[in-house]
Amino acid sequence: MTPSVEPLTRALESSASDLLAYLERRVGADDAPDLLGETMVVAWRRVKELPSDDERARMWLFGIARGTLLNHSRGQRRRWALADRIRLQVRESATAPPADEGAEVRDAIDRLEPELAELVRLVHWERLSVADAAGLLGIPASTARGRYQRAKDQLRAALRQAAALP
Amino acid sequence: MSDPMDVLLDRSAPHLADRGSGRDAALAQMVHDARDTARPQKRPRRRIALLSGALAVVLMGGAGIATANSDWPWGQGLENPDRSYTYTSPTWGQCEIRYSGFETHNPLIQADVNRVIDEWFANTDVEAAADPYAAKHLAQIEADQKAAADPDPDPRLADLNAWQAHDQALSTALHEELKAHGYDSGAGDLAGTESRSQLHCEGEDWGGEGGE
Repeated sequence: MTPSVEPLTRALESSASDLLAYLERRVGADDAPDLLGETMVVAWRRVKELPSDDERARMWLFGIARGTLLNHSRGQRRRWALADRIRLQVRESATAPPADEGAEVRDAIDRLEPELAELVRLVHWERLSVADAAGLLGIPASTARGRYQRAKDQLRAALRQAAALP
Repeated sequence: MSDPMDVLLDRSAPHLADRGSGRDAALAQMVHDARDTARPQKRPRRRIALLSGALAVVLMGGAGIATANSDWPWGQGLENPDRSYTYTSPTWGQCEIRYSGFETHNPLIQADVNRVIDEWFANTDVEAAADPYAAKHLAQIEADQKAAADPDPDPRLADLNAWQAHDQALSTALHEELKAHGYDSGAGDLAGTESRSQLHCEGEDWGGEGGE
């Protein structure tokens, strides 16, 4: 394995599960494997741009994954053969996602302005810091902090109407 | 003390289906497959298989080349896999392009040109020979499409681009070989020459179109 191959292999293997979860939460289990496949192929094509720092490398991969999501939202659909194995696992999985109690909160998030909603999802679903989420969204960290607070205030108000919150 | 709102938001993440114990292995395999897809590798095992198929025909006494190594209906003149090139397509998986002989319309060079081509395919790792050109052709194709005012929305675009890039790469490498033998297509030595090729991929999707 050449020196340029090993760091990206390591970065992809360590982040693949989180990337798949990120994509699956945005587009569902059917399309997420293809977007992960596309993310990986793009990453290999741009391997020379891989940051040397592990955390920056991870965020670089999230950035590529976000690009595939944007393409997906514009209607681009590709079936990647290399995603077949993951897709097959999804189909054969006997374990359906457990019923969860977050539907009401997700609805409230969906009603936020899109840039606020995605910021909240990145912080609370993907467990990114506000600064990392800002980098991924291409906005200054200070702007992200302000938006994040505004988003939480709006959510607090919205959810207070539906249920008693402190 | 944690903010109850943070707890609520954390818990709102959609639950994901359990993929089972094989998921990590599948993801690791995907990393390596993606690398192969991003930079198509030569496939020596496939090449050996094709040659074995041709050998089997000889041993069977010519029972039919077209069905000896593949059920695929190759076009006339493309049944023999000796002029074959393989690559991995982004979504269509493993692909094979077969090439016909050259019809030069010049009896003085016809036999020798095809001898050069036959010997090149027989003695050369043609995937490796074309490899330096494939990425360059693909980059050019994608750059042209990116610059186009009206982007092509065809979902098969990545596979069609790969086909075009590999076909051009193989052609470039072959013409370099012919040039080394005194047949310079750039100088018009092969003007008017005709040839054909046909593509077949394991997971191809022509949407009702032909593949030749």
